[in-house]
Amino acid sequence: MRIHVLSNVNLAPLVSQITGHEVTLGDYGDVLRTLTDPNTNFVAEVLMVLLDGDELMDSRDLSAEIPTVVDNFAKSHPEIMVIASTICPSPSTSSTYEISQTKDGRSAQGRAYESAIVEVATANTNVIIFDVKLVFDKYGREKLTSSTFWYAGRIPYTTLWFEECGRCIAGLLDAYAGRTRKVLVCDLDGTLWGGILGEDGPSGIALGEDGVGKCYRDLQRQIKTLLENGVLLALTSKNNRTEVDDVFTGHPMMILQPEDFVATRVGWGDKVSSLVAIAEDLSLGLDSFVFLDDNPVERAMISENLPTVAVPDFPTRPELLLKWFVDEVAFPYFPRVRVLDSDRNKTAQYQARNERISEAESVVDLDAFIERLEIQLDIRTDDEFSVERAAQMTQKTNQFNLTTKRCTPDQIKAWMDSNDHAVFTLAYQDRFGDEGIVGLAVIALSTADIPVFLLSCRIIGRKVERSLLRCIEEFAVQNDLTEIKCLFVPTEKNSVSAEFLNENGWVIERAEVAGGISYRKDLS
Amino acid sequence: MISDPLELKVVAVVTRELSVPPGSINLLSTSDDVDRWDSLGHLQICMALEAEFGVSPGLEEVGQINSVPAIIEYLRGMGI
Repeated sequence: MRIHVLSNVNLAPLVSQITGHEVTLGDYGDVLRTLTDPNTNFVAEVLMVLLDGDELMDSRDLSAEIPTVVDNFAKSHPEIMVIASTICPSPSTSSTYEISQTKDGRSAQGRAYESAIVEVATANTNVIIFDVKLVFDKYGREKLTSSTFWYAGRIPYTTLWFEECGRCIAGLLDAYAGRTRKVLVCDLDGTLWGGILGEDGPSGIALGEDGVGKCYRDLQRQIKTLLENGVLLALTSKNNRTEVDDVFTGHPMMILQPEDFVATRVGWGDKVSSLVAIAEDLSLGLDSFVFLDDNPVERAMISENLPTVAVPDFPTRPELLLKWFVDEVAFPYFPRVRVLDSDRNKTAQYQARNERISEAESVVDLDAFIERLEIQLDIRTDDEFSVERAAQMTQKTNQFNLTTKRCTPDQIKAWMDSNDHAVFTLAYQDRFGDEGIVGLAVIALSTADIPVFLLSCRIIGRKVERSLLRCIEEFAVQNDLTEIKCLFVPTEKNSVSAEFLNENGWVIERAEVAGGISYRKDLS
Repeated sequence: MISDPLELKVVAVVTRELSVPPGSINLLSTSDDVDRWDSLGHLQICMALEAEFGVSPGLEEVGQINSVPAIIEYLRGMGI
């Protein structure tokens, strides 16, 4: 868009900072003439009046006149969008503390100007406000103003002010032109709530009105606001659908509700395929999507495979979620100038079109991606330092867990000490970080049986479970076993692991035994 | 050929801030020799020094560092 900027100070450095738009600058100090001269000639769709508060307050006539002049201009030029700034005068002068107390002092005068200009915006649909206070609040006056450049050339601000205001104005113009993203895709574990649902259970996740739980609840509130402003929400989560439904229907602290989402993909497939399917269902381009996920591997997978999807970094500390979401997600990707009623029922319109619930077919070269993760596994046998962690995993892991056998540290220790058993722990790291011990398997030699085989849901989908199984099989061969057995005990939560043995060359020995399915593998 | 990293950077900053073609600024350039190095261009250069080198020239220094050699001397004096 073309934007013409008027100011009472020298804003020359702003021109190069409003990227993606064509910017021209009125003559410095030429605000009133441009707005009132009937023969005023500038070529732009947008006229911006960006005033310095101190200069404006030094000229009472100008500050009293500008709102009326802007109002008249807007009414006589309905084809032009006018952006009027708020002002942020210095808090102090040599009147010292008196300034904030006198009714006609500088502060009062500033507030009067501001309420007058906001009123103009309310009365004219072609006037919008740029609140420069947002920038001052974020960085503080000290970092944004410069006496040197003010006295050297009537530039009262630092480079930071120009960069930040340029960025905000470009965002505002994008919002006005409708160049914003449309869909926010959210993960669940570690994103909309703290913790891991599959391990911590619905009552164990962090979501509430205190501490860490409040960080996530506040984030949900902000996301709900975006929804009310017309942003579409979608869910992609590696979880069991029934457990997720339990949280949505049963957790008293959930702000977001199932009907808030136009698309929900909960399962164990890759998220690239989920996003592609959601985009097809909604008939929207992937360049309309923003993807939120606390897991860097999931984010990398989306960025590498779907480069037009916006994938903001995710804060590592929950207390930063709220500020991060506002600054790094809402403002850059979903800016809004005005919210219309037609924005509000967008979700309902799209929901009607999205009835496909089957898991998406994979569209991604998973093997190539896994290769680029540079996964390093450290599989150890009978490592005494891992007793506590091993026992903890048997207690918490529900999804990729073949037998769901719960064990105490004493039990694990006894297996480690016994000549008949071997306990394998698997530690995982990739180029995004170290996950620590995330896999556990136990083999009993005398019965040729695997009583425990599990993998934390944090790394499901990266095929490391095959390496752990291969280790067990090799160990069995080294110990002269000719076959090994494993009982798969189906639960409400472990369907993700149901086909694992089958896919790795094991065969069903007996389909119904002790509440499970008995598998065997011939090693001879 | 300029090989000193500071000199290279100063020439690059001045070239960028004045939006002049690469090669038009050298180690001897002054505001008198370069058309685009007017008062506004000069302020943009000084503001860029703040961002690039973390220095804040005062009002009097802004008036003095109006050539590439003067900028380099000023920056060296600031320990850069």
